[in-house]
Amino acid sequence: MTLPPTPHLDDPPTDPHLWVDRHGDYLFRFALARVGRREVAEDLVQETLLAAWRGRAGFAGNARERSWLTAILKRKVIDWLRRAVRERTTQQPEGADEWVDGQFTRLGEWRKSPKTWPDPTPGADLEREEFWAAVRGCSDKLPARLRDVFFLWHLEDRPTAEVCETAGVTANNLWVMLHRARLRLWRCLTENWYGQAHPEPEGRNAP
Amino acid sequence: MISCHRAAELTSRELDQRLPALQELAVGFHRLLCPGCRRYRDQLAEVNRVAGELLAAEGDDQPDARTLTEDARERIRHALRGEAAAE
Repeated sequence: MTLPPTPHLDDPPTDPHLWVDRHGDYLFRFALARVGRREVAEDLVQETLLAAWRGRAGFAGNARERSWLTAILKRKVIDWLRRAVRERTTQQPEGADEWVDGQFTRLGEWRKSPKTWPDPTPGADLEREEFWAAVRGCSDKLPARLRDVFFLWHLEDRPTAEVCETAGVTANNLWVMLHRARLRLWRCLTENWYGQAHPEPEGRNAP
Repeated sequence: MISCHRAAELTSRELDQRLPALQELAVGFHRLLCPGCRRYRDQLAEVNRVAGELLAAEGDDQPDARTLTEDARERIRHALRGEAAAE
């Protein structure tokens, strides 16, 4: 019995030269969205493809080539973020954060108390794109060390103690940094998206 | 009563783990009396969910025109050729 030819994405990973054309941009965007630095993302894609080539014997043909490569890349992204966090943090308690302190009065009350958001749900596809661009824009504005901690925390699927141990941060510093990152994201998204009315204007889909 | 600043810290931490009983009580009591911090809790949960979704999305799902440069592409091909030739 002859099997029908499988679609090209399911071909066994025998020709690494095709990987760059087939998956290069996909993997690059995957990495860039998580590490936020173009050169680092490029390096991680290269390391991933080299590791995949060396480990190609372990590729189980039942997975898609792209999923297999993405899984390798994800490990590399996490390792990179851990190193980045480890290099920039100390065991000392986190220092003051003027931006965060500036959100509150000396008594610790909100300077600008959180307001109700108008209907925040992005509707049409175009609006969804704008929404994700806003989210990415806000996460790109985070100070690098907070960004790395926040993304690492979201990518890791491990108990807190292990995340802290591998990234060399104390649990207290982790909570402080996550709080500072989220407060910034919240403020930025409130100003750039949620806090604004998003009516469906007429003619939005016009060319 | 704890301040809004402290409540905001605990609100973030609550997204990740159950708070120790005393802190849970303190932040709960604060929010009972503070509509701003109630809104902050709901909105922060949404922001956190959205950020998680951004990270869970894979390369294709992100409307993003950023691609590998031709230079990077050539560098990676070169590295792969070297690796294949070394075997």
